Amino acid sequence: MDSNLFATYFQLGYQHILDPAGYDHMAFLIALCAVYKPEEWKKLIWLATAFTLGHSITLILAGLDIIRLPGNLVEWLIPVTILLAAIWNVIPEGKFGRKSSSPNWRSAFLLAVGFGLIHGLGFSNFLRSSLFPGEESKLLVQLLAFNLGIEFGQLIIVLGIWILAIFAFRIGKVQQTSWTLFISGLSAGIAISLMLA
Amino acid sequence: MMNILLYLSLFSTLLTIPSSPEEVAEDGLHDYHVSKCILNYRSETQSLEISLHFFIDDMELALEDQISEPLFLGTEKESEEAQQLLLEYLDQHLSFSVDRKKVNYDWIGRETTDDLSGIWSYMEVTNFPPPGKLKVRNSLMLDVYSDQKNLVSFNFDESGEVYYLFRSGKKEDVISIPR
Repeated sequence: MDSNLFATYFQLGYQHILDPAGYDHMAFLIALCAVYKPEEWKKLIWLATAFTLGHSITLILAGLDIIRLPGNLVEWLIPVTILLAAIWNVIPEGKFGRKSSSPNWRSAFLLAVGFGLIHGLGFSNFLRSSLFPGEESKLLVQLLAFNLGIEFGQLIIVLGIWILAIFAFRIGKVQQTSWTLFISGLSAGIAISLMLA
Repeated sequence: MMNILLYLSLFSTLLTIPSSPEEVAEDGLHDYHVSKCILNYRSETQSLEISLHFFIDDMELALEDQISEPLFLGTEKESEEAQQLLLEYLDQHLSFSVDRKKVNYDWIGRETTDDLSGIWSYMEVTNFPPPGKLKVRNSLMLDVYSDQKNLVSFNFDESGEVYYLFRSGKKEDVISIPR
């Protein structure tokens, strides 16, 4: 029966990421991925995994009731991180300590982990609050399945961005700078509408 | 700059630990909209035990649709109408039927969870011989959030849970019960 439990929480995980109502996940991934060419697909996968890593850490810490966070801060941080990631993409070299044409890979990775940390809180709240007495032994399966579902959902989004990039670069002959500008503008727009909501 | 932002956000999160449960409950985190219903059938007592967990802020949004006053559900300040509204809402959005006949459940009680964010409600169907198929309709909070998910688990005589997921576009499912 545990395979059924696993499948259900896996489903909860990827549906959470792919749900159009939770498009802030997508906006963030899009902003992070904007500066990479299709050939750099490994980086895209690592960014999705970084998010899952952060997400898992919070889920485990908060699920086990080690940390709790006020939510208004979280709500506010999400669009701000998206907007800053998007702006960072288009800042010219040499400004504000920016060294190269592609943003610092380590920063992008850490930012994805940080964003994942924030996002993990919503689900951990559910896990903690709704754990029925006697169900503790199932918590680990739930956490694992949900996080793998999250990762699966992220990879689907990254695949979508990658396919778009292939079309843009190979068929549309779009320049890297135009692509970065277009995608960053798109996610900045989403972030601003989230901040105003 | 991204590093600075990251450190700032991590630092500000550290500042807020530990925060009180009340604070968490009132703020509502980056919300994950889900309810959980545990069904336990016991053939020995011919009964179906229903335990339902939902988040208070989600349920309040659903109920306050019908009245203008805040309900303060699950707190000491709870409005007098709250219980009646809750029962009506549950009756409307969580229902069971066997062979197209509605199965009525009795209200047992409810308790607010330790972190004050959720409520466990307990209901029971008595004098209930094991049905071959139990139809479940669960549309809790689907009218409030488009991303609402409702998880239902069914356990027949402790033989192990089977899980069902309800969401907008899937409000009904049929549980097959071994004879």
